[in-house]
Amino acid sequence: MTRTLAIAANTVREALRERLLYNLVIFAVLLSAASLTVSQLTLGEQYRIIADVSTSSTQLFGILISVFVGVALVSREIDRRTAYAMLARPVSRADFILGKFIGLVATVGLNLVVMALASALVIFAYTRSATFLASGFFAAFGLMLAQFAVCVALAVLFASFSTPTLAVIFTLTLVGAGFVFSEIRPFWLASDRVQMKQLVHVLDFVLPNMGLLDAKEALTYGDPVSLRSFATRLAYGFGYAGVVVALAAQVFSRRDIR
Amino acid sequence: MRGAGTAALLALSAAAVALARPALAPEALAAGRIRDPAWLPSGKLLRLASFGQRLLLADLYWLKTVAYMGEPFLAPGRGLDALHPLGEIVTDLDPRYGYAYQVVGSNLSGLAHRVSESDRILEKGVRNVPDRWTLPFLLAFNKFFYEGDFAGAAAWARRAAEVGKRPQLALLAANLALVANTEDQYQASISFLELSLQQAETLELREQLEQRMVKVRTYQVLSRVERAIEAFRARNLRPPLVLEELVWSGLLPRIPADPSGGTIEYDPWAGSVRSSALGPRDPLRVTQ
Repeated sequence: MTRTLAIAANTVREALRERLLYNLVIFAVLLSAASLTVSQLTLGEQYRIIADVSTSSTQLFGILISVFVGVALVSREIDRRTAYAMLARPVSRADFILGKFIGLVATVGLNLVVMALASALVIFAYTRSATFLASGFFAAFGLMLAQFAVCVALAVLFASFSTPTLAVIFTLTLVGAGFVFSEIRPFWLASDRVQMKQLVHVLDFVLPNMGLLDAKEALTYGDPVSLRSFATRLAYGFGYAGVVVALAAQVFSRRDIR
Repeated sequence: MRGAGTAALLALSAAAVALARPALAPEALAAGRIRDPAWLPSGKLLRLASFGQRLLLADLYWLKTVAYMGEPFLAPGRGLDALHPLGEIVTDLDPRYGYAYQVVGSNLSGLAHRVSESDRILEKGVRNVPDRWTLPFLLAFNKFFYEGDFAGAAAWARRAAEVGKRPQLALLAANLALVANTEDQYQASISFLELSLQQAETLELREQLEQRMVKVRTYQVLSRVERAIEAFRARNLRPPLVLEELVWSGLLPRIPADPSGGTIEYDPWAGSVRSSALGPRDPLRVTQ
């Protein structure tokens, strides 16, 4: 466990040196701040525009950071053979993958805190009240961490056996499919065709249901999210990510990296 | 030498931009303008393709809807054919967008004169946001003013009163259900318009409602005078020679002022009255 945490700490240090990370975080923060101007273009309901732009920019840029930084850090270690020095020590390949995953999740978690703080400041600047914190704010941003963990896990899995470009394409495709699936799932379940329902049950295990990890609407409409619902969704997201990381560890253990 | 080349390239490029930009002004203004509503995408498909950003997409289409509603005032003659499809897209992407139902619904009937489309989007809103009282209220308004369906108007006003816990709406619903003669009808119209004016969000809709209020008040006055003339004719077996005869005989307390700013004109040969500003009284139902 100590070895895994050491790799994780090293991954955080390495990730924080990535310029891409800062570019994306700064862009997300600027977009959140710009929502104050965009909201002036609408007729009423300025708050929802500010809340939607803030949460969406955090989510979009967080996913991009998770995928691109996740793929880059794992692929680079293998391409530059720096992973070899680590694996020559008494460190298992599973430790290496798990350490990378934990380090990357910690990094995107730090980014998430920065972007959530920026969003909170922007919303506070408009509402002049902190009541939004009591209604969905923590659930919306907290569950994003579970989304990012799923993205990081998929990025690590694909980066462990394919090229960086392909790994990015595969990860974004699966994450996108997870979002589409969460939208289409109720329609397929309501369908008269039995095959559709069977397909849903199969996809429930294959694809991440990203809609379950999305509580942006709670902030927009001030919906309360119960602790139980929040914890269950968080457990689902991290559980899914854990399964993918275990799969990545298996794949990487069998990979010939001479 | 390299510095001079860069400076020349910079000057040439800046000149090209400065010259091209004014020439492209019409294209820039037309960018993003909706030409044919049939080409608008389906909200349900957009929702599938939103990749978790359906609320953001709903906001973007809402901004487009707001801009579209303002276009006819910048370019008169342009219709509002795409208003209902745009409202459908916004509310398919976010079925809880109560404000969108409200604004699109009221402008579809008030500005675009597309009452059936207004009813459709408002009924969708009542289904998806049942706790927003303004939606059944606007439906009641449509039923009363544009469709002449007083029973339907009473039912929707009752629902608005229940949802919004507004006693004045309950009273309105009761009055609508009891509408029996012309005077009551005008009084109910004025109550309705006053409430609608309180809810109107756009300046344009407000102006339209205020104009309609003046029209209804004028018709109310004309109808009162017409009823007095009928009573005079029944009592004296002739129409009054001048309107003052109605006052002398106690049928009117005084000759009423014309709310539209003109004067009440009387034709003794036809026995009819008209407003010098708005002409004779039309049926109350407003479809134009």
